[in-house]
Amino acid sequence: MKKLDIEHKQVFFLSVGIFLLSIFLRFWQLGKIPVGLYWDETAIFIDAKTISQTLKDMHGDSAFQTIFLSYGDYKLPMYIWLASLSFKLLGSSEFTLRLPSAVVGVLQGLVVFILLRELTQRRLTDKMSWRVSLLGWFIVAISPWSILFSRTGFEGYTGQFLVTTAVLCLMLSLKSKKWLIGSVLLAIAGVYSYYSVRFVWPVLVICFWFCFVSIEKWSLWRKPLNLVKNLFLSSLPYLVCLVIWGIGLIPIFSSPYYAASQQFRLSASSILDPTPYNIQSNALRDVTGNNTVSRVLYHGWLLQIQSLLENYSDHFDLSFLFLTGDPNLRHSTGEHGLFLLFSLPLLVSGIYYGVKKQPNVLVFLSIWWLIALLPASVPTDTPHALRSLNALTPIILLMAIGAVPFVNCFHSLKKQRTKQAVLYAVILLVSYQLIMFVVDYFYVYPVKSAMWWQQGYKDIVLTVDQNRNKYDKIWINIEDDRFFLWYLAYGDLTVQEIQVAMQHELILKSWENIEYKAYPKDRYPTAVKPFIIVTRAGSLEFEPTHKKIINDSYGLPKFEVGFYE
Amino acid sequence: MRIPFQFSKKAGLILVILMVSLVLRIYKLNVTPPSLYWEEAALGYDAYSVLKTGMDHHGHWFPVVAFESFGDYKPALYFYSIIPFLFVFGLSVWSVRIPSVIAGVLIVYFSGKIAGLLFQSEELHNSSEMGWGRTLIQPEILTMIITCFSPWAIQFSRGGWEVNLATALLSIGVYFGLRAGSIVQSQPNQKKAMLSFYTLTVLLFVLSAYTYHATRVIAPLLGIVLAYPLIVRYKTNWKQICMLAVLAFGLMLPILLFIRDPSVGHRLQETSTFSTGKEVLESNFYMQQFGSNVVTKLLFHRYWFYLRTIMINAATHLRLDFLFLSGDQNFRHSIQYFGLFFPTDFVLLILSLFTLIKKWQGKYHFLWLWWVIGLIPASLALPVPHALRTLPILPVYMSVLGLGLFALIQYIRKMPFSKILLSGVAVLFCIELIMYLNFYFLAYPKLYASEWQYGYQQMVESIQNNSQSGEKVYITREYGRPAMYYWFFSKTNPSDVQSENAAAPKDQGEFLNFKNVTFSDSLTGNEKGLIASTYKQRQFFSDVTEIETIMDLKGQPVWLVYRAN
Repeated sequence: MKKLDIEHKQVFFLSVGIFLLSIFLRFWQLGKIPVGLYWDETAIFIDAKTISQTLKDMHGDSAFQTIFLSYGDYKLPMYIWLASLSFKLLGSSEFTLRLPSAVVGVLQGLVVFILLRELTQRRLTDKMSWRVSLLGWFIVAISPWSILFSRTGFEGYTGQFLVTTAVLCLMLSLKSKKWLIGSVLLAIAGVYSYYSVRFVWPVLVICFWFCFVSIEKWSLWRKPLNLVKNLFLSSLPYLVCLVIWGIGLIPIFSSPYYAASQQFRLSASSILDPTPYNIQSNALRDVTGNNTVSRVLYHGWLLQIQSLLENYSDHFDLSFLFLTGDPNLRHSTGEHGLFLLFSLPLLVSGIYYGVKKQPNVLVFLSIWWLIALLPASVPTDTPHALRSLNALTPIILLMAIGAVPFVNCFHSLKKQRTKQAVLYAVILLVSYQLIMFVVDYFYVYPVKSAMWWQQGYKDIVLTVDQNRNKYDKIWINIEDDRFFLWYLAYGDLTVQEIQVAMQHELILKSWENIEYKAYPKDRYPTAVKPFIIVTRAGSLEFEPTHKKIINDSYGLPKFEVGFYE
Repeated sequence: MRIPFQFSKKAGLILVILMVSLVLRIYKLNVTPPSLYWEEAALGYDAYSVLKTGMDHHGHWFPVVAFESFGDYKPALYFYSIIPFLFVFGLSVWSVRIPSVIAGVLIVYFSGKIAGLLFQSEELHNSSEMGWGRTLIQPEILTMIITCFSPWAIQFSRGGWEVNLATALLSIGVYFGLRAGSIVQSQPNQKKAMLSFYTLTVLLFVLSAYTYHATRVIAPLLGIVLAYPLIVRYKTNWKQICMLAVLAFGLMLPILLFIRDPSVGHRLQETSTFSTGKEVLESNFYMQQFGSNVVTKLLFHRYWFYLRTIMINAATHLRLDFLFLSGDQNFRHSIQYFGLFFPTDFVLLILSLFTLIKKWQGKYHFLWLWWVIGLIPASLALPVPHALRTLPILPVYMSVLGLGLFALIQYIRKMPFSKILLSGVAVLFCIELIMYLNFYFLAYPKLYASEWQYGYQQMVESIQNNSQSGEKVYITREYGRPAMYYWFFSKTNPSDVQSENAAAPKDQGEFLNFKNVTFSDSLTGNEKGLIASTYKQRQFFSDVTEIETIMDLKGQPVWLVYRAN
């Protein structure tokens, strides 16, 4: 009894340690790193600001809608609601905007911990199950993928968290069917957070039934009738769940913005556009004789499938996963992959262990991983760490399970000294990688990534705002037609003014004395002074009376504000 | 009495496979790939030069370590392997490519034999009552079949690629090395047989080091791995170890002596992934950020960054699109429509890995060691991923895929309707093969003719047919390296080239003038005589008599041959 207590104490202290670590990694300097708000975050910022005060979004629509217009980006509501709540309670700031995501990031570890406990409790020894679960939590706490996305107001992270939690409920439903209700509700909430959850969830449910529920029935295969009956009965609750889930999505489909949102998503460059494939197909047919064989062999569909598979394969690139990450610096630090390198052997060993001992767990997690990549593989810009976020949990679960062979191997070491040496080496290696990541993320990444986070936009707004009443006209052209969002977020407009300005507009072209366009050159000689021109550095065509330069993170000029008096 | 019959069944099958391999590698060899690449032309002409005069075209007498070639150095053996075929085919495309074809067939045979040694159980070796089916379905034969049709193997067997010959030598060496190793383990008294096998391995490995740059790294390391059973039993075998070491060292001495000479080191420096100095800059950047002290020097040492680069480079060779979908980005190394393997080979690879994990044996360690060693040279160089530099690990992949196919067939045989399923697999394989061959023979030569410098042969023939004695001839360098092609296709007497070597103006070892022929970057319009150029340079001339237009395989003009008056 006493021994058990010690064990539980260890688990308790370790989990508190991991919990604190994950809090530190997510909350420290949350409002300041990443160094600025990205377009989508800024739009959510404005919506949350208006909703927290008037229960209406920036376009004047009700807060209780299932698709937000959001300057034509058609956002799902969950993250906007969470951010509004956060704004209502704690005021509006970059920190409170990112707060829900950070909280979700911390909770994710806990959910993974419980999920692993559920997954391994009956399959491993109690001690091993605790170890595996703690390791899973630890990997969530420190994986760059999880940290980066839980420190930004990207709705994808919340979406995948809700899916993970829904899967946990599915696991728990093996004990009591009541949990299925929780699972359905969370899965619905997941779709309300992120579009791609729609494709992931039904596959997950079917796969879960196949891997964990139906598996016990297959022993009846000698009696086919009995088998079919049993399979059908066991699948019934899950089918009902899927139906309820589908019904739960009706509000999204019936939103007045649904059709437009779908069109908008499809307008992005993706493999669904057959034109380039048809052109390529015709070229290939021409050089191969344009006969029946060549018409079949070089059909556009085959080329399209090949493209899809190539995009898929980008997400399995080991560099992407463990060394360099997404080329987009909003999604990666550029120096680290989605996971720290030490977890690569864990992933390999997880697959190995799955093959040897837990094929059904392996199949379930692999399908979860694969289906999570589908929405990320259709657009052409791959690999994509944000769109493939739904794969975060299954990969971490595989890594955690991968600890089992290593621990067994460790215990088979005979000499105590060797054991200690191995243990210290592992701790040293993991600490080195973690320290390198933390140092990189908090000290180097802010400098390197500043341009990806629209650094300088806020400074422009603040400068313009100070002088707006003293000048007749302000011309802002920094080659980004979404700059007005920063003005709405940080400018001196009231919430009502924002709603009036945006009521019939998606892109704001002017507001009062501010024009969001290039200064018309030919007007210069007769222009009424005083006025202000804001451009990219070096683009002011007429010498101003005085000017303010806004530098980038390396100290080089990025924008110029010219004052003409 | 049945054993000879059984043997002949297997031998017959192998013979058929080898015949098919030969046909696949030799069919239309002179026109697919569509023409000689400049390195092939250099190989051919220098071999011709050595045959005629005992010296290469620069006048070096029987080079042993490397031939100087366009400011670079090519290992020597492939040059000498061409010589016998010069007797048969003369100086032609055939004689340059035939050694590689033969190497390709040898790779097919020995990949199978290696797979046989690693995966074949004893009863399969000795069973005398096997029907055709069982004779066919064994890892050895299946590996041969896979290699016979492998896009990767075919691509490099159908061109004058030194690496293909090096790989063949390496695989034969590995086969004998493995046999020697098994003798050491199972019949330690048969020292004579063991020694003769190991001596063969040493000889073949040394030859491979004289054939290709990367095998100079791979062969010694792989040799140590193969000699491992001997090395661990050093107490009873020290004499043999010393003899082999002295033999290997002695034979490698010429390379070792020239290790600092450009003829050995130049290639490494030129392609090194570290030549950009990126890692040092990065390390310095981090140290600047945090101040240079002992801790930062340790944490941000440039060696960490070197290691990271090597890992990133190595990881690219595991990219699934590289392996299964589109291959190497260099159009000469891959046909772009297929990867190194057929897409469905992915299934075989996974199955094979699972089989290996489930039935792990000590001797399998050799496979991953070979694989890792084979990736080292490619990971230290740019560009990556590189199908050519990694070709020495082809037999590893082939054996693994062969085992995968074996496992797949065994698996299907246990299922109901196995014959139908097996036919389905065969049909799928045939479809892929047809797609591949159709693309390779019909589309590839036309689409990528320019990558193979198509047009030189036709241009030189036209110049030959139309030049009048004593007339000046101008050939532009727009497509690169015209002098070598001129000598090759005009079968210029090598002693003429050697006699001009000292006086001729050169660029990176390439002749800019040879007798009455000038090879110039651009023409002025004042030249008089026979000219071969593109249409762009033809425009400088007003008074010309057009003689011939050389078209590529898509009907686009490549060369214009005309006389400027």
